[in-house]
Amino acid sequence: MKIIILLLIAIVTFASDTVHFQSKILEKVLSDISTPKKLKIWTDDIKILNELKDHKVLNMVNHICDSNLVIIKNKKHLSKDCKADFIFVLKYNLLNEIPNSFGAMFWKKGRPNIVIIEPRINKQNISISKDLEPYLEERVW
Amino acid sequence: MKIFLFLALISSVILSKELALDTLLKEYENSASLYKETKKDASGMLIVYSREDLDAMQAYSLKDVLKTIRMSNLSVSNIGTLQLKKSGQGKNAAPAIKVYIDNYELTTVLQSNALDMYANMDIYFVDHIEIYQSGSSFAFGNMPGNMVIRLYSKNPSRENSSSFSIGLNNKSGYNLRAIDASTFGDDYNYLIYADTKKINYNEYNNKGYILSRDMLSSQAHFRIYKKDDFDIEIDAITTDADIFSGLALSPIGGKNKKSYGYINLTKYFDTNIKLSLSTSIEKKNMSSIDDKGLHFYDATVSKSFNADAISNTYKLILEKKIINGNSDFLIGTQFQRNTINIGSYSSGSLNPKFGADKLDIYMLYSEELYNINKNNLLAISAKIDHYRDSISQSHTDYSARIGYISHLTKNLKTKLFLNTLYSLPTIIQTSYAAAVFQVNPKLEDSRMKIASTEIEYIKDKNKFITGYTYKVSDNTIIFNKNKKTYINLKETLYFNRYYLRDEYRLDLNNKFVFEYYSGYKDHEASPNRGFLLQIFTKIDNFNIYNELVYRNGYKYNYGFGDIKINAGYDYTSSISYEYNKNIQIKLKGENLLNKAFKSVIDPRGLLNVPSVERKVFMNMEYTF
Repeated sequence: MKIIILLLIAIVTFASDTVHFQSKILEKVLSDISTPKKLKIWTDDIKILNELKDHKVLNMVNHICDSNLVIIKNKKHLSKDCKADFIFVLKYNLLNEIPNSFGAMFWKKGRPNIVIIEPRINKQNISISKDLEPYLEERVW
Repeated sequence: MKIFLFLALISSVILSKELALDTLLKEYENSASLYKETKKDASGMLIVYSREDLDAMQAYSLKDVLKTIRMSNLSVSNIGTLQLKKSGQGKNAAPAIKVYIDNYELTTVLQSNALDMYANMDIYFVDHIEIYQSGSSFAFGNMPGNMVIRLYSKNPSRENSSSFSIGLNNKSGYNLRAIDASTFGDDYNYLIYADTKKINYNEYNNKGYILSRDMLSSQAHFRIYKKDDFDIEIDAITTDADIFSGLALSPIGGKNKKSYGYINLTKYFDTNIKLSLSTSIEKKNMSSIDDKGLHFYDATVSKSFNADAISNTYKLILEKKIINGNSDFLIGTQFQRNTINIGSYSSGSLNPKFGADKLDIYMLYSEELYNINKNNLLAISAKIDHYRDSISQSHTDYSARIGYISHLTKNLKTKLFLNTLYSLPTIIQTSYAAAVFQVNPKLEDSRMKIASTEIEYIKDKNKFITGYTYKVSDNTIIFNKNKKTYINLKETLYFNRYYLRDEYRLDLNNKFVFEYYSGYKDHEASPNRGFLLQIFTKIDNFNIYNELVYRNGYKYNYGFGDIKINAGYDYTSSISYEYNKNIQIKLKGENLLNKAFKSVIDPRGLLNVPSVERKVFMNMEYTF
């Protein structure tokens, strides 16, 4: 439908800006971690998946079963048949609900935050760059 | 002033160092600011206070925002309430300002203006504030008004936290606030908020009589919703204040106790239909005791006055949106019933007269947003309202508006609006008031015709806005001090105002705002010119904010000869420190120069009082 109302354009611009920066942050985080395996990434957030699908460095895949790192905003989308090696979550409470998730990007008190759980990355042989060190936390609150 | 200049200099030269990821997070936060979702450019001349602004300003209460609004003056009334008057308006003017919290338009009946109740409300649970001036779109469906203030509560999916805040100030005042907001289940959102506070002011000695407007206030707010499905909003606020000068100038006692609460239920249907049902209750008890006697409108004199009343409103709203090609069409209808139950009314030997105690309002409104092409939008809206009251008076009135918004270039945007709208007399003017003036049930609507235009130019880090408004007012409602009642003025009044605003963003955390406005009208009974300077600075974990609000001096005659009010300079400075992710410590001083604009309490000019007094606040906030 050819709706080009300015108001709608403003909303679309707002939404695409938001996804753009969200993806940029994920790109930065994922570029700053090293894992024993080359990462193949899938996310249940369709907007982020579309934004990153042609990324030159991040290897995005279209199906969870083809991935070894998943970025999850809804726990229901984790697959029992295709277990991911690494899980990054988009809500803080998922860090509690998914014990092997190693980090999160989430909103708290009106601000977006990043957290990486140090014991979990150590257990999963994930190493991080110096840029991510300020975001390390010992445990999930 | 030296401190201010020093801080301004620091602000301009120091930039904070941030990690790349922190910068991205900040950019993400800015890009996702909620006001970008809610603001309606086509709905009027808009001022936005984003969450980032409100946090940096340490805006604890709504008055911290109201005092900075261009083309208006924050005043204090003789009974101690804060009131927002338009530039040039006098003591007795009752501007039609409409206030929303989320979806709900506050429907205070016994108080002429919702701000009488809410100007001092805490805005700890508010994310951002939008102010529409010069007549807003009728798509809001509000009662007629030429300024709309919209407060939007914090988005629970962005909060996911509980916070507690405690504040103290140098006048022995305090405030306690707590908020919990989060999501649960399948995208359900909730927010619970409560506060209680004591506001102490200076006492004024008027020839041996002490004037106090100290106040105790509490508020609770609850909201639960699922986006595009349903929304339940509940709010309750209560205040208990000293009467200040009361209904005369020699007070020896008196109180102004008010409370207001509402519940609003909204259901969204798949077919772009919205249905809202709401009800509110308002209680008011006012007493004024004066040593030299209160002079009532029938020339009787009494030492005291006491009145209490309860009002209720019931509202039903049904709206439908039709999106078709380049057209976005909204049609809505509302029914509202206002009732007043008068309890006691003690006014000496005066035999009080009241107007209607019930008013039914039937409204029908629509708005068409038509996109001529991708850069040009036409906005047409109209509203027709039918009123029927309990003394069998009925009348119908209408409002209409046409707007044109054009993106002339990538950097240049213009807006043009032509409005014709009316202003309804308030209940205080027509039906129920303190005995110092007589209600006038025959009062008619006043009509305004407003032409306004705005140009916005954005280049690199700079945003420049200039606007002009021309207004013609017929049948204007004014207070006639000889008849001691409100009347319709036969003479046509003309006003015009212009403003300039420049916002310069040095980087993500540092910005300057400068705004100047000037207005012209025949009789100026309050400042008509002013400027606002805001400097937002962030240095590491410190947020520093500096603000100067200027209002010009003026002369006016309330019938006792010219009185001269000096220009006002209200300088506010604040600093907050983020100790860690959980704890914030804040320090703020307002009216630090002690030269803020003053309101006239004694019409002879012998007692003038600033609405914002010199105060220093300390606040600590803990987030779980």
